Order: sequence, then C-alpha cells, then structure tokens
Amino acid sequence: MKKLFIISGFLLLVVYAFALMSFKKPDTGKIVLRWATDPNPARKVQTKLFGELNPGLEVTVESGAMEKLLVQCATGTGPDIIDIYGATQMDCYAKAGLLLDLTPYASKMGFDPSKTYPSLKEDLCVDGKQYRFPCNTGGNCVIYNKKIFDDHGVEYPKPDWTIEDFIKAGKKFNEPGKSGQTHIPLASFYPYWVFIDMYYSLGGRYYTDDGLKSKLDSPEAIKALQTYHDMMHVYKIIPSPEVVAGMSSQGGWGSGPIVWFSTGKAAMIMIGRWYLNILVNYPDMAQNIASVGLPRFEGHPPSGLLGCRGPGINAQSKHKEQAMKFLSYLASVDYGTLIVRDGDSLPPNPTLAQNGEMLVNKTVSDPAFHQPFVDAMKTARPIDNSPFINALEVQRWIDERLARVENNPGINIEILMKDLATEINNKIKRNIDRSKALQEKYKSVTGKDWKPEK
Amino acid sequence: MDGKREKPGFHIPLPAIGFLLPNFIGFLFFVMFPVILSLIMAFTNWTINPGVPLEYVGLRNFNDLLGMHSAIPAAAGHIYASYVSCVILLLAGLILYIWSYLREWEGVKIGGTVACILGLSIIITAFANHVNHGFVLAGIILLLAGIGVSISEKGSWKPGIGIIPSILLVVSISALWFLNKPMWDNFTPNDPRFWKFFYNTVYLMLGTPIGIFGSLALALLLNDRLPESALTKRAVMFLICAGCGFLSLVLGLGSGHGDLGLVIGIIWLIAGLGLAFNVIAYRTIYYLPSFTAGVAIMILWKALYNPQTGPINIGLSYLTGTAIDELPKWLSSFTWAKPSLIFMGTWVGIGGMNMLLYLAALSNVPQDLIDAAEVDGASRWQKFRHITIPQLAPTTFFICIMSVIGGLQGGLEQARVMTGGGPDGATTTLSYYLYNMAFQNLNMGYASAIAWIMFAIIFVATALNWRFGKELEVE
Amino acid sequence: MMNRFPWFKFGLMIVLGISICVPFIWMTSASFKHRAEVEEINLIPKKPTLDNYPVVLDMKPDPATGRFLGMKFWRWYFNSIFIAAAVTYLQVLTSCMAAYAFSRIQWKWRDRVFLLYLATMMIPGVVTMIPNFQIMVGLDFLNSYHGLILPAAFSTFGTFLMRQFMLSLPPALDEAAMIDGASHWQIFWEVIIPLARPGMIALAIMTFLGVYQSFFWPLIMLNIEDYFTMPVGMLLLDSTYGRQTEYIMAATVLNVVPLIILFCIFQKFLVKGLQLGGVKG
Repeated sequence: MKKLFIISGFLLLVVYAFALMSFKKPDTGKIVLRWATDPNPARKVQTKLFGELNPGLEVTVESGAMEKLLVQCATGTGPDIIDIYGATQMDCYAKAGLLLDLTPYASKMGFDPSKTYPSLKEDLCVDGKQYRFPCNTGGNCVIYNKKIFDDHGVEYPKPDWTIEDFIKAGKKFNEPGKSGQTHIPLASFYPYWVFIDMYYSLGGRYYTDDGLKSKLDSPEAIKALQTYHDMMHVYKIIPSPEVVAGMSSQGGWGSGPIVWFSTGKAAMIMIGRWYLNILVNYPDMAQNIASVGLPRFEGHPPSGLLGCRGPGINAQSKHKEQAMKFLSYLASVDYGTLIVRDGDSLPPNPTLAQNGEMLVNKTVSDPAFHQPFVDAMKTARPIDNSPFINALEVQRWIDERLARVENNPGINIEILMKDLATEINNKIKRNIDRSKALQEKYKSVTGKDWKPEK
Repeated sequence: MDGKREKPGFHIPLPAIGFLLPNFIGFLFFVMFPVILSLIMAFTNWTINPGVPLEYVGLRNFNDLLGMHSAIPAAAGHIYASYVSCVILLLAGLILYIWSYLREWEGVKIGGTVACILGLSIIITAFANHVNHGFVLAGIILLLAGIGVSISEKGSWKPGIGIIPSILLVVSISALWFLNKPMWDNFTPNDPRFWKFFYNTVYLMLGTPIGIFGSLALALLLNDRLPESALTKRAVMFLICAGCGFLSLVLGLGSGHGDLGLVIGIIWLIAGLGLAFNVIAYRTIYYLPSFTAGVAIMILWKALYNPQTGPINIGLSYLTGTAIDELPKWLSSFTWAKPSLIFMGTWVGIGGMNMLLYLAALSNVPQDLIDAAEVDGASRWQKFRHITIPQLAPTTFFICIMSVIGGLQGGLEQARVMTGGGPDGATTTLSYYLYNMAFQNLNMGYASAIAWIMFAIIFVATALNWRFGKELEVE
Repeated sequence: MMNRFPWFKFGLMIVLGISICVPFIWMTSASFKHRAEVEEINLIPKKPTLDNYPVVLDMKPDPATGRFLGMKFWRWYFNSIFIAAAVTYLQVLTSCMAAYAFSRIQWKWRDRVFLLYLATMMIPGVVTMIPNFQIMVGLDFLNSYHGLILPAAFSTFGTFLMRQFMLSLPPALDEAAMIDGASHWQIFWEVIIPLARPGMIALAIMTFLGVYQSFFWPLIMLNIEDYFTMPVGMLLLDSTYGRQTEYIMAATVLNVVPLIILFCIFQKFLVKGLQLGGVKG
C-alpha cells in the first residue's frame, strides 16, 4: 500500500512538471487587457482590429459571469474591461466601487457622451459621473412576419400605430388563418421590456426627480401593467408562462420565444436590431420579415426603452490608460462599421446610422427594414436610477411582481404596484438612515437635514 | 489571527501531532479561517465596495432577516410575546413527543391518539379554509405520528406523563390558530422572503426519507445475486439477448416505431448484461445519474418535464386519457414545482452512494444470526425487521446525518440552472437566496448572516438526529 | 438454472434499470441530433448527424457559423483528470492520517477537535468562498494547478468517513502490534491501512467525482483557457446568443464515458472494500 502511494505520488509530480512546462506562453511583449464579455465569436474580430490599430496592446476575451467578476474584483484581480449590459447593472457596479469614474478622462480621450447619442447620456452615467461607453446600443421595434400576416388577412402595421391597433391585430392570430393554423401573436421573451416600453410611452419614469420616491405606483404604471396583464390573460396576445413552458425553450437568454419567431410560429416580436445576429441561423426567414416602430398609446408619442451594452473600466485595473484606449476605439468609425456589418444592433457612433441605407448589411438588404431602428433612437429613453437604492435590487422586485401578474390572472394591479412602491420607498429610507454619505446627498438634493423617522 | 490555535501541548503524544498536522494545517487555512471570517462578517455591513467603510452593526443583519416590525409597537408587544412563546411550546411539544415515545413514558399511547385527533382536525380545517397545502402535510404527518405511536408495541395505555407532549401540541397549535390573525395584522416580518424560502427548503427535504428508503430497497434487491453459471453459458445468453435487442431495434426502425424498438432493444441489452455480469452491471447502471450531475442533467430534466412536448406529460395523457393541456405544468406551476424537483432529486440520488453503502452494510449482516432466526421459525418479514434493520442502523444513521446536512444546504444548482428560483419564488431555497444576496445584491454581510442562520438550523437538526439516532441504536 | 431463477427479481431489476437509463439514452441520442430537433423527445434522431462530436473536439467548424469553436477539449480533459487525481491522492492520504489520529491514538481534546471539523461542514460553502479566494490572491495562486488542488485537498468529510471506518476496527489489533514493538507509523501502514482500504476506495471515488464536476471554484480561479477544467470549458457552449444543447450533450457524453469505464473497473474493489469496513456510527 505504501508503495502504491509513493509511486502514484511520484507519477503525479512528474505529470505536474510536464504540464507546467507545456505552458510556456510566448511573451509577446504586448500589454494584455482582459475584457470580460460573453463568448460571442464576433468579439474576436473586434479585438483583432483593435490590436491592429493599437500596436503594443492586446485584448483577450474571458467569461463575464457575474459571480466570477464580483469575487475577482473584490480581491483586486478582476479584468480590466468589464462589459455591462444595462444601466441597472452599471448602477450596481458603480455603487459597489468596481468601476472607474471616467469623467475626467472622457473628453480628452474621445469617449465622452457627446460622441454618441445624446439621449444615451443618462444610461452611461451614475449620479452625473460617466462610467461606461457603449459597444452597441439600440431601442426595440416590432419585427413582424409578412407571411403570417397575409395568412390571417391582417394589414401590415403603419408606422404610427397605436396599442389598440396592436391588440386588434394580435387577436386575429388566435383564430385559424387561411392555412388553418393559429400563430402566437407576440413572442415576448423579456416581459419586463414590454411593460417598460408601454410605461415610457405614457411618459413614465422610475423615480421622482430627486430620486427619493418611486413612481411605480403612478396611474401610468398601473395602466401599463394592466395593459400587459390584459394582453396576456384577456386578449391572449402574449403567451402566458405556461404556454411558454410548453414550447421548446431551446437557446440561451430568453431565446425560446426568439426561436418561435425565427421558425415561423409567431407573428411579431419586440426586439432590437441585434436580432440580425440570430437571423443568420435562419436564412429563409430574411425575406419574410419587415419592421415597424413600437405601438404607442393613443394621445401619447411613441417611446421605448433605450439601452446599450457597454464596457466600463475596473477601478483597480493596472492598465487604466491602455484600457481607455479601448473605449476610444469603440467611438471610432472602424469599430462602428464592424457593428453595422454584423448586425449587432446600432453602433455607438451616430454618424454611421443616420438612415436605413447606411445600415444595410448582407443579412437584410432592404433599407426600409433598418429605418425604424434609426427612428427609435430619437424617441427612446434610458432607465432612470436613484442614487439612494441599488438598481439591481429594484429590478428583482419588479421582475417578481411581473411574474406574479403572469401567474395570477385577475390579480389586482393597483395593490400590487402600491406594495412595490412602498417596498422601494422603505428601502430608500433605510438606506439613507444607515449611511452618512447618503444623508449628505439627501441634504444636497433637498436642502433639508435628514430626519430619521421611527 | 483566527484565535483558534489548537497547537497541541505537552500532553498530546507526538505521533498524534504528526499524523494530524498535514490535514490540520490545510483545515485551519482553507476551512477554519474563511469560516471565522464569515462569522465576523455576519455582524458587519460588508459589501464589495472598497469605498464603504466596514462598520460593526451588531445584530442588525439578523434582525433584518428574522425580526418583525409593527406599526403600533406599544400594544402589540403582548401579542408578539405570546406568539413566540407558543412557537417555543410547539417545538418543545414535538421534541418531547418523540422523546416520550423512545423512553416509553407512561401514557404515551394516549398521547398518540390525541396526536391523531389533532392531525385530523388540522387536515379538516386546512381543507375547509383553503389554506396552503403545507398545513395539510403537517396534519398528515401528525396523524401518521399519532397512529404510529398508538399501534406500536412500546409504551402503555395507562395514563401518565406521556400525555404531556401531546397536550402541549394541542395547546400551542390552538393558541397559534387564534393568535394568527392579531399577530399578522399588527406585525410584518422584516424579510418575508426569508420565511418563504425557509419553507421551501424544509419542503424540499421531504424527498430525503423517500430517497433513503429507495436506496435501501435497491440495495436489498441487488444484494441477492442472480444464480451464477459457467462463462460459456453466460456468453451465449448475452449474445442471444444482444441479438434479440438488435432485432427489435431493426424491426422498430423498419416499421416506423423507431423509439419503441430502441427501448425494447435496450431492455434486451440490460437483461443480457445482467445475465452475463450479474448484479455488477445493475449497480453501474443505477449509479449513472450520480456521474453526470450537472448542467446536462438539468437540461435533460427540463426537457422531460416540458408540459407540451415532454415525455412525462405525453405518457400521462396517453395512460389516463386526459388532455395534455389539463395536466399539471410541473416546473412552471406554482404547486407542482417543488414536487417535480423532489422527484428529480430522488431519481438522481437513488442509485448512488447511499445504495452502495447499504449494499456493503447488508453483506456485513452476520449469516449465523439469520440462520439462528430461521431455526427459530422466523418469517421473512420478521427476519428483516428484527435482524437486518438493526444491523443497518449505523449506516442509516450516517446516511441520515449526511442527508440532512446536505439537503438543508441544497437547491442552489437546481434553482440557478433549471428554474431561476421560480415560478414566483417557489423553488428558491435558502442557499439560492444567500447566493443572490451575495452575488446580485452584493450584500455580503447579510448573506453571511443567512449562512449562519442556516448553520444554526443545520446544527440543531443534526444534533436532534444524532441524539435520536443514539437512542434508536441503543435499542 | 431455470427452476431457481428469481424471475420476479430479475424483472424488477430490469424495469428499474431501464427507467434510470432512458434519460441517458435520450441524452446520447440528443448528441447525434441537429440543433433544431435537439429538445424533442424522440429517441431516434430523425436526421442523425455525426458532426457534433468533431465540432466539440475542435476538428470541424460549426456548420451554422462556419467558425471553429475553439474548444481545447483534450487540454481541459487532461486538466480535469489531473486535478481530480491529485486532489484525490492528497485527500485520501491526509484524511487517513488525520483519521488515524482521531481514532487510534488517545489524546486530550481529541473529540472536541473532531466536533469542530464536523461543525464546519454545516456552513454553506458559498459564503466561505470569498475569504478563501482572498487567500488565493494573496498567495498568487490564480490560474494555476496548485490553486485548484490545494484548497480541495483538505476536506473534513474525508476525515469523517475514514474515522468511522477506523473506529470499527478492533483496538486489539493495535495493542498486539504495539506489544511487538511497532511504532504508530508502522501500525498505520502495516495494520490499519490494508484494513481500511475499502473506505479509502469509497472516499477516492467520491472525491474524484466531486472534484471532476466542480464548477464554481475553477470558474473564479481561472482566466486562462489553457487551465480550464471541463465544466468551465463547457460554459463556452452556453452563450447569450443561444445555448448549443447538442454540443453540451456531446461534450457530456465524452466526459462521462471514461468515468463509467473506470467505475466498472473499480467497482469490484469498491463493494468488496465497503464490506470489510462497514460504517458504524
């Protein structure tokens, strides 16, 4: 037995030495920047181009799994460039001190908010300080399947259509069309977006201007959520979770419904131009689809959520200067052209997406398809966050309420939203109560001293 | 730095130090230090943010988790106190009930009957008032416990102190019933989600006894080897079975029923493997799920549970004739999500390590005991009950403890990969809640507090397990 | 043979076998399907394809995008196996030694220290992860083999299991050996270890599987692809633009088959070993 241990121990050491030796990576002499993002093969092309434009720098791509990110950042070993998928995540990371405040460097190095869409400014900043720059951006539009519309005899949507038009059209898909089949009216893969787009159309915002109270119990929010509820349970335009579970859920992030649309089972989908990335897998679909802006509430202008995916820089990165060069690269025309070409939503540089013609790419060559996405950028608005509460926590609470609406037809929306707003307001109060920094912020915003209530 | 320096002193023999040292150093460094750090963190406001100064906050995290607050604190104080006392009485009653049974107190059987009645009344009231089916389960458990005690051979019918535990139960449960409304009208828990997830965690532990029984049953099944036969005979049988299997596959493919053909073919193959290699083949087959625990299994089961296209519902609809749309939606249904997870967990664990441990223990049962019993004319059931089960007691005890420790910490992977904690928080366990708090809300102090509360729960459960296990072992 | 053959038992074994097997058959057949039909329930692929395996092994490009997946499968395989083997070796060795100290040698505080070991098993592991990681960073153990091996090599569970086994061995053995003038070290190797072999094999199997499948710790410790283990590598198949289920199934099958073979081989030792040891509370 003893011999067994000695021999196997020896073998292991030998293998270990061998493994270590085979690892010698050639030192390229370049500074390596680590970029935490998702494993999309397109990144390799983007980083290669960056390497060509910036000799001496190299960007490697690694997994951006949130747990990994947080643990590494907590110990100072995080990646240099961190991809952030929305203002909510940015708020969370910025408040956790993970991100470098870019404001002092931004205009010098060419990635301040003036280099991209002006409406995006709030999405890039927390409390007035800039923390990221977009890799790509965009708002949602409705993409619809012309063949299915023809099958059910539904008119194509006009650019200025209303929610009522949308509902009327949607209901028709539940009855059999000429082919004898019914289709799913709207493939909603992220219910939160549907709700927010409608809420924004009514002029809604998350918080009051001072960020102290939630506005999610306002009549507009209740109306938006009620419409969502009705679309799902009354008109049956949005499939309920049970129906969703009943169909194939193949794919990553919420892409079950995306697959329904791509395989011709659903008539419409609310999505951004990044859908083109997925469309490459379904070449036959490209000629069937057309796009139109989001429907609006009668008497209100169209609006929707504006978001972007954009990297920030790790506050503890050892290569801050070089990492910022990457952000300048994102603002450049070279990078923007790649985004346009690959159909990965819209590039951060607005000059490259002024009309549909400029966005034509090999997947869909019809400029009319790309035009609504350009128009959406003029009306979409980003999320507003409050300095007094963690946006990710609020997001979870909203998702919880949405799930409750989806699973309980007939639920009282007003009580639900009032309860949500109360929870948020209480948390804000508690946060201020426990933090001197926030109390000072409170004073600077309201001019009054913070008085804790019992 | 960690204050737990167990550096051996003079009266500890050198060999002990020598043997213990390698493991102990690793233990101190990689286990003890992080544990102590996390304990300290539970009392602070630790978040990842280097900008927020670390403050000692005392019991604030624990209060946020377990505490209640009220709009009218003054008057409600009494209610709170009485409610808490009733809960304590309830727990005391439960523990004493089991204790009285094991120690055979006088009057324990009357106590059992009282528990029966209590259980029945809980079930009836639960149905009448349409409350959450957790109460029904509690009622059923009480009922069974009552029946179990009443019909057992232990204890006596004479009145005595054995009645006290059941009286405690009746008093506390009725008091809680009446206190329920005043309590929750005046108080709201600081963290209602915590209690919900606590309930989920305990619920999901329901599958543990089933799993243990299942492993025992499988071990019993595989314990008696099939009759051996010569190598050539086995080879021939195997070839015949393989041939039949292949034939059925081909027939199936040809006639358009490929799936059926494949299944029948595999059945032949399994039979053949069994005949050729005896029970070893089956042990491997039953152990298969434990190998591949992970994302693949979750994806697999997600597809199986699919309400429209999953084979479970298709099979059920075929067998019972109900339309697919009316069958439960399993993982997407609020009521069926947890039972589905329990079923899946049992499937994965049933042929695993527990079964192997039982197999080993079974083969340790001294043959002479069994022979002696046979000479005395014992039936199969009696042999099983009075010889086999006691011999297995140490193994069962070990398995129980590990299952409790593991089970109360579980649910993280399933929630993360399969259900996302839904629908509407039905499958979120305390582990997953902890994970979210740490990695989504970045509130490490709070997460550490949750972890230590879980530790307290696990510790109590294990201690009870240990105590009662020792009692059972003694007899 | 026919007359004494336990038909009912045999039938039962087969029925259980097939019900446990069917999901695996499904998984294996899914690894031969195209993406479009991957999540359907039919066991025989309608349009079978052998392409999934070469794509996963990086020998062919992904038909949909025309790009190679870039999965360094063989490397990760090697990493997983090596790390699991190393951890198993260290764990079995140190656990046995510690268990010996906890069971065969009498010393003050013995049981109290052991209870401490036991108690630490009750803390959910997620929360000790960050302090642990901090140590790794401090020691500069990131992206290395030793960083993955060392923390896992010292487990309290192993000590617990081995202690139980050793407790069941009669103390008379030790006494006899000591009368003969043997030192503890000799008793350990010559007397106890051979008898505890079953327990060691059980521990080895459980440790190996556990480390092989561990996901979270390698995830946060490794950035460099060359050092990845299998579970982390397979994450690459699960991107935001679509989870490639058929590749995950193929990778899982590739992952599991050698384990099954190893298990079959070691099974004979395992159960025989468990018999001799027995687990007493």
